[in-house]
Amino acid sequence: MGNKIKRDYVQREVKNIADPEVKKLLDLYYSALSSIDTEFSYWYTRRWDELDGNVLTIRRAEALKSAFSHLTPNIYPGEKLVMQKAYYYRGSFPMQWVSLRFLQGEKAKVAASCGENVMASGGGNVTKDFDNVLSVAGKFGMRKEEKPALDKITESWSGRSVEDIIKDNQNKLPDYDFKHRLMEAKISFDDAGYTFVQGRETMNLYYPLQYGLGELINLIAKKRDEVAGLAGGDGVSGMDRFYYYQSVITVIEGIQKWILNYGKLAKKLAAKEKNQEYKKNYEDLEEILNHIAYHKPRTFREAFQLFHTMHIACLNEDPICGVSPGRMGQILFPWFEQDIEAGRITEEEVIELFEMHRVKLTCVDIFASENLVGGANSGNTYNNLSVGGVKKDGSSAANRLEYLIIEAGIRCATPQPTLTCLYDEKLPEKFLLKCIECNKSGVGYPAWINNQNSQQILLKQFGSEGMNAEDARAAAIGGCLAVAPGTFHEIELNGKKYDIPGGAGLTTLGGALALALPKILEAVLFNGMDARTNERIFEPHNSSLETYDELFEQFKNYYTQTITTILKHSNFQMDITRKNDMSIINSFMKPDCLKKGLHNGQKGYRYNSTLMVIGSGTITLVNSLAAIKKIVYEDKSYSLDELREALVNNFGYLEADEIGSFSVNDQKKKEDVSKYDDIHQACLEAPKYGNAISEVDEILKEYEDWMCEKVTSFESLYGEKFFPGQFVTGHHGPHGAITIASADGRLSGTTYSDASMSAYPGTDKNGPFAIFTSATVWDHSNSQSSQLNLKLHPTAVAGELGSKKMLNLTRSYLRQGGQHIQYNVVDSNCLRDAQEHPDQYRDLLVRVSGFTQYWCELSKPIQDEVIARTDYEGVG
Amino acid sequence: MVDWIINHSDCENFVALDVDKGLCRLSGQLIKADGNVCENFEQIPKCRSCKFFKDCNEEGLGVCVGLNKEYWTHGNYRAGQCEAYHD
Repeated sequence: MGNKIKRDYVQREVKNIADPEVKKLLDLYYSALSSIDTEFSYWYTRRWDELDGNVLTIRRAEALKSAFSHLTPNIYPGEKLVMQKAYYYRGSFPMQWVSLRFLQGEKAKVAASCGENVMASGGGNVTKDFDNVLSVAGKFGMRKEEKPALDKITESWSGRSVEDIIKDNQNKLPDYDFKHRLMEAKISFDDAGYTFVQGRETMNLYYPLQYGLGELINLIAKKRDEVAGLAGGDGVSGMDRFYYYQSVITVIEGIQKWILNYGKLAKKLAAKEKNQEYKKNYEDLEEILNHIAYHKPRTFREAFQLFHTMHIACLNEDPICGVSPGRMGQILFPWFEQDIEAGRITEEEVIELFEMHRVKLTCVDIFASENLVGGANSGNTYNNLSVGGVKKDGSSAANRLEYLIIEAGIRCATPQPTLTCLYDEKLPEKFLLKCIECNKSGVGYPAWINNQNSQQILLKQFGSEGMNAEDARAAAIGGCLAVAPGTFHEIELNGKKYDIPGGAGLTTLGGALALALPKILEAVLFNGMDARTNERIFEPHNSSLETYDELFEQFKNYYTQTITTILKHSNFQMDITRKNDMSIINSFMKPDCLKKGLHNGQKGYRYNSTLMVIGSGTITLVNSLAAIKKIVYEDKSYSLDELREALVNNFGYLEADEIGSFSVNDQKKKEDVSKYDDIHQACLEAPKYGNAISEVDEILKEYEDWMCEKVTSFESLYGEKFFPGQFVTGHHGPHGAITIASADGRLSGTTYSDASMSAYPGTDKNGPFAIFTSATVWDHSNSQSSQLNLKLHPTAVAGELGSKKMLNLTRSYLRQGGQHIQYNVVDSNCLRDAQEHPDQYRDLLVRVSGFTQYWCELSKPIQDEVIARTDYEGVG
Repeated sequence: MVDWIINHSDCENFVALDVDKGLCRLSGQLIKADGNVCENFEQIPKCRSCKFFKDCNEEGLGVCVGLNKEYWTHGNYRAGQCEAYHD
């Protein structure tokens, strides 16, 4: 075949064809490398140092203002929506004040602790040095001449970064050694929550859109003057209100300067431009930017630009993934409706703007920590845009603008913003079929979220903080799949009033993140040892595990020990973070920070109980328990010792690191070793989740019911209860890599089952409705966003009838109580061909777990896992 | 002292795409950041050309004395948004 693309696979029915001007910008993205510079880092650090000794909140605001004010603007030809994180198109920058360990020494060359299992060399990743470009953290390119400045900034934060302060103090916690062992075993990643402290939440644009930045400053100054020097009935945080209000004013001034700098560049470019169309665009941009720097937006384009500006401003406040735009189509609807009515804009122009928005957000990279740079998130930034749901009065919230947003998502296939449909029975059939059309284009979005379940989740999680039915209706998805709390605000535009939804809570993270559940089971089987490294993790339980119940009880015991310790350390880490690295930009926009005069770290938000405990590999755990129950305890075909021996010996296969691949497809048998073939066969043939087999599904139910109750019994940093979450992303790759063979027949080092409700690849034999039966044996509203991914062959959903079948399939799951379902509509042969010819599939997207990503930017183990998932060829 | 190399990345007409390349606003072509400049070259403000930049070492690091407090800077930093910049 040479370099030609094989076409012997079924093409998707709905094609992605971007607007020509958007295509140029998208092509620029495809040729752009992930790049960093230190402009933001330098100016932040310089101002921070100048204010040595000042109040931390004031100092942070001044540092942010300085950084925004000095960012060099960059506008690319044809862009109608401008402003970006940093100087380069796909640019970002380190925030050494949060985390710097991975920038020092040899670590600067390594993508992540487990990055090699997730990070691919394709796409824009800079995995090696070349010419005058250095590879940093195994993913980003940096100009060689900038290295001395990077090192200087990094060294200056050594000993005073949030990471260093945590490390200096947390070893005094009594169970530090145990926590250290858990991290060494990688049951949880060691640099999780505090290094991407904000995210998995939705923004709130009410204040900037309703008042404009100039008037907002005036209003906040009034609040500041009212509270200055007064304790406000609170002897501890009362005085902090003055600092917070002043800080908000300071950062808004920085954002204004940043906008005006872009305005000046637009003016300069307009003066030089010979192409009349581009010249007009630069002139329009200048006017828009100069207006929104001070005033409430008048037009759809101004409102869109202000929305985008404030979103990027939020993303620059911290290493952030998943501070999502929320229900953007409903937030911008007032301006859309009035501009369309007045003939100021056409629907095609609106679609083009949303396509450009897609390119702009896809350009957003995150430069955070080892875990985020190359680990479980694959660099994904989770800018989730929700459509659908219900209004404040409970009626359908879908509007005409949301159709156009979905259309833009079809035409311009990019990972960001990913879309989510908040499925509700109130939504019109036509709207739901538009979402299905988008699914059929193969982009992996929109995800389908059960809107009624989501409201139940919010009421359960935030009821103690006053969540009511009305606020619950403002639900939207933050990050990959977290149901974020929100509220409605009334916007007034030219005398007409509109209710717009927006976020009202803080990050979902903090807590115990992505616990490798099968690894905990491994420790149970080996009396507390890490069977891969022979190191001790847990104190020995010394139980002979005579019965299945004893085994399961011991699992619960180790799980409880794990989260007890990790939660204490997480609370500690998050406490240092909230004191040293508080949010000012994102927090001021959300209720009720401005009302209370308190930031996110001081419970300023309306809803603060969002910290979580998240599990990874749920179905691998369940299948393993089911296999042990069957072959050891019920059939007694093998003893537990025989099983242990088979697992340690990887069922007679070579270890993944021996063959240099962790992919499920590449594993090789050892020559002349057949001793474990029979037990491996028995493990593989043991009943598996996803086939509506009650004995397996009961294990899932028992685990979920117990886990949800257990997790909510813990108290978070904010004095509220923890809540379980199941929106794991790419964790099944790196967690699989550190786990020996499991009793379900999975080989050592290979991926776990993806998501939380997906079947292990190839083990779901009875069709999608059987998975639905299995997945919904427990109440999904007891946990945040349990997720199910299905792979559908394009022929299964072909034509109008296929679309209706696909919608019925979706409905069927959600009506049974499923919280989330997502599809890859693709012929696996297409994916195989893309593996062979990655250069010819630069734009191919797939749904991985909680996110959509470019195929060429995924590592081979993850690619192989996606290929291995069952192709459903019929959904009727 | 450093021998500063002037290349496309120093030019007003260069719009950086990434650390390796960018667009020339005049030709519309993708060009290397390290490429040699042409007759249309227009220098962008950089710290190294500012009168407040002092004591540059061999790595390009020097001292900025133009703002409230003296602080280190790098000669190759863009200075277009700096309120103290003066060439």
